Amino acid sequence: MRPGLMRTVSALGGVSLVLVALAAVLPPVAAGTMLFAPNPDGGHALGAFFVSRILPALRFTVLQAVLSAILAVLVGLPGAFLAARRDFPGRRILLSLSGVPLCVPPVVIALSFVLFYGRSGVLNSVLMAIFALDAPPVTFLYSLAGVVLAHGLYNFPVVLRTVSRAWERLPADREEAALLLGAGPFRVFRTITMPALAGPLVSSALLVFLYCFFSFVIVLMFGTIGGTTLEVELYQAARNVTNLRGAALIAVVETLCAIGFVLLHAFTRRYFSHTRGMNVLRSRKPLCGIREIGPGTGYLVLLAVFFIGPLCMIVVRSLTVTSGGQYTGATGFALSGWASLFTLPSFYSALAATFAVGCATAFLATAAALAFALYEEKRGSESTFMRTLPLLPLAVSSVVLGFGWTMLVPEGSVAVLVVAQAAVSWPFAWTQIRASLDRIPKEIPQAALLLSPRASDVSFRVLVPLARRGILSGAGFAFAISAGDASLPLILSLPEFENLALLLFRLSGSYRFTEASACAVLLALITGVVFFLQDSEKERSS
Amino acid sequence: MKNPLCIVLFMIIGAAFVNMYARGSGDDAGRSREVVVYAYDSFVSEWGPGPELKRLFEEKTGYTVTLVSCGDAAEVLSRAVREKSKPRADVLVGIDTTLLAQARASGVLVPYRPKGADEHIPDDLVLSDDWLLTPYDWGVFSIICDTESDIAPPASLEELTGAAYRGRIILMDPRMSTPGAGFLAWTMAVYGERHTDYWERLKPNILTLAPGWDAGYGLFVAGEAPLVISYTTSPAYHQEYEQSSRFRALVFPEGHIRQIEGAGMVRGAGNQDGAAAFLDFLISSEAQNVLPLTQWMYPVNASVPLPDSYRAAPAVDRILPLPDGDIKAAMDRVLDLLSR
Repeated sequence: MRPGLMRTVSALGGVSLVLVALAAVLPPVAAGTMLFAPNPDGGHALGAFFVSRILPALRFTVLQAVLSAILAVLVGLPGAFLAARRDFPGRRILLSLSGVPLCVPPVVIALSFVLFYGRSGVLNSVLMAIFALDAPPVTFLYSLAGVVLAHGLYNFPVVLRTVSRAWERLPADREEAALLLGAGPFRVFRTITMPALAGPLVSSALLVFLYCFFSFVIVLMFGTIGGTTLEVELYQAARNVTNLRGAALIAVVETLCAIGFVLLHAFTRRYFSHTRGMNVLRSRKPLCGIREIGPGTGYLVLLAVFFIGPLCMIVVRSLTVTSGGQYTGATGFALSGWASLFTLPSFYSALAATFAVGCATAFLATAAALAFALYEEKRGSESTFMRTLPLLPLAVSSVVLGFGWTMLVPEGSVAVLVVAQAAVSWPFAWTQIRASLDRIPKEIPQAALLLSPRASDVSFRVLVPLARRGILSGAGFAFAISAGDASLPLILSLPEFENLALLLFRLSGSYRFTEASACAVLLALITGVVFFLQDSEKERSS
Repeated sequence: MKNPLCIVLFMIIGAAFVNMYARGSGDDAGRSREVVVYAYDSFVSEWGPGPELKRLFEEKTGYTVTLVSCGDAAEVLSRAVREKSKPRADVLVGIDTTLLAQARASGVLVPYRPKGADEHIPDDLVLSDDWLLTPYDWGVFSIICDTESDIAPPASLEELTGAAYRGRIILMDPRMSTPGAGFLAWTMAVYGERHTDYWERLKPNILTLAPGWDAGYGLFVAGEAPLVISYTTSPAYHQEYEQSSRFRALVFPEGHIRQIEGAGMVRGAGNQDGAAAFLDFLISSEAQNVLPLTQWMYPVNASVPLPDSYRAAPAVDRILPLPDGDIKAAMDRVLDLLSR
């Protein structure tokens, strides 16, 4: 790469970084300024409201989010090991599931869980048939357990992907040395592997935690009847034009809470060692021996039944249509839902918009994240502040973001949409890139710096190629977030704009649940394929 | 830019600039031929009446219509309130009975009585005497029953509290959905002050308060519970597109309450004449014809023939007046009671 070109690319990276950072910071700031808005009524009871409704809501929200993150880690960790260290059929499909939590809307996930675990769902029907029961035996769905199960299973692919990415490049020498010295496999795992994986593990657990902290569709659907979360209270307050100050107060409390969690994460991370080892992809062994095949197959089968099962129900739903002619109301299987989706006049423009905006968002978010990560590398020091900054956009919930954006932009454009989505997906892209860069031994950039004429050569010729997997993975996450986003296009009120997520929202808002399910399956497939292709590119290159 | 505070300061200044620019920009040229209409999303979508109404109106009058989707009806109003000092919309669509008081208090609308109002709109559908809003369609909240389930359909609102329906009713969160708020208002209209006792009795029978109509109705169609709150016209959809009479709307002897949706002219609108023309058009037979199969609501104009599928929508004889109590306070009380 010529130096001139390198300068241009660096400048572009810097510009993307500034744009994305502005787009992440301005909306919450704008929402916060509403604290000083005139308040015709409301406001007087804010204190009492805070104690009576918000505090209990906060407690429940935190509890379910902690439990969900723990479940996601428990389910994701064995999968991360298998995907990183063992070869088995379906390995890449398992990895390509990562986009699911980001692109499939929670309403569809909730519906899929109902179709699988619900009262008249598959699981209950099967159990009732086998054991000749009169009443459905599985009834935990509408409880805290249901919320945690849905959240945990929905989000574990994030843990799986992030951790397996680090695990497959973990240096073998220390583990081998420990084994030679007589440590058992569990002791090696506990004292060597685990501490080395702690960084990505804690990061991905935080992503899941915040995701669940802000989630309200699944919480309201399965949680206590009449329950509430900060996000729901804010949603309600922000819609009431006479109580903007109340809305701003909730927005500030919620964002500060979330920033607190991000900071907590940053400080716990400091206690884990940041061993930088050989950035060499370790070979994967096939599953062998009864001690591996047994639990390994068991895990995969359980995963297939309890996680893939509900997702399959969406496919089944997309094929279920009312048929049988006049006045029977019988249902049957047919492709008519898919056919009518594909023949919608707006379908192809929505598909094109999804790809165009998704790719633009992925590019911008990745450029910004990479620019920031390389700047960090250049500075060399690992300050907690620099490590926390990119995660801060995670502390801004979608309702706060929407509230803020509506203050800022009366008339949105597609460019604003791309920048806004890039701001949302930036932390995901950065997490992936950071995890890759962290696996590069310190000596490599140091040696490169000695041998290169310019410092930028180190970034462009050494770090970027070595971190390519993380960069692509980050772009994949950003694409998935953009593809699944129906709320920002609505908030920005883009005239004539429609992507697949918005199409899905409109289909399910107009009784067309079969077509909506087909659209959800398509969204999951598209992001699945994006991850799948990216992984295969890496397989070849390494 | 070494200092992080410096970065934050820079961002705040940037925010101020973006804000100023956003407020300052605006193009008045060509506004006299353009009518800007703010509506909720399902009105604007492919299956809503928006695209067809736009086509008909443009053909008839030569104006161009810009339809802007603002999310839901409450967001239509709140967007207009934010833009009060420099309005961009000429017409707001979707302000219903429950939003009327907020719309009046905010002062973003001016009264306008559309041409042909006397001829087309029955007196009982007029939203307010000063014509702050022009009603264009209406619907009746009711419980929909799945006739293929094992339950006997409840015969009254009171019977919904019976032990036979334990965990069998899907309601919607009144904070997030119109039918959800409509059901709450219905219990207030029937039971008055004692509606909290009713909710206490109903509590064990509620499977979930779904966050939104689409989530709740989706659950119902998936067979998770045999009863759901929606509109009497919901079965007409299944009749029209699925030739199915499986889902039936129940008529209760206590009476039902009605949702009337209206549109209004924005105060200080850039194109007042265009706004007036659009409101005149909205109640004309031509426009009203579009509504039954797109809105799944009754058109206000009674001379419009209803499609055959509307025979699946039972007539409701007893329409109750809206409750006078504070719906927001009732919402908090009922949600408190349910979450206890």
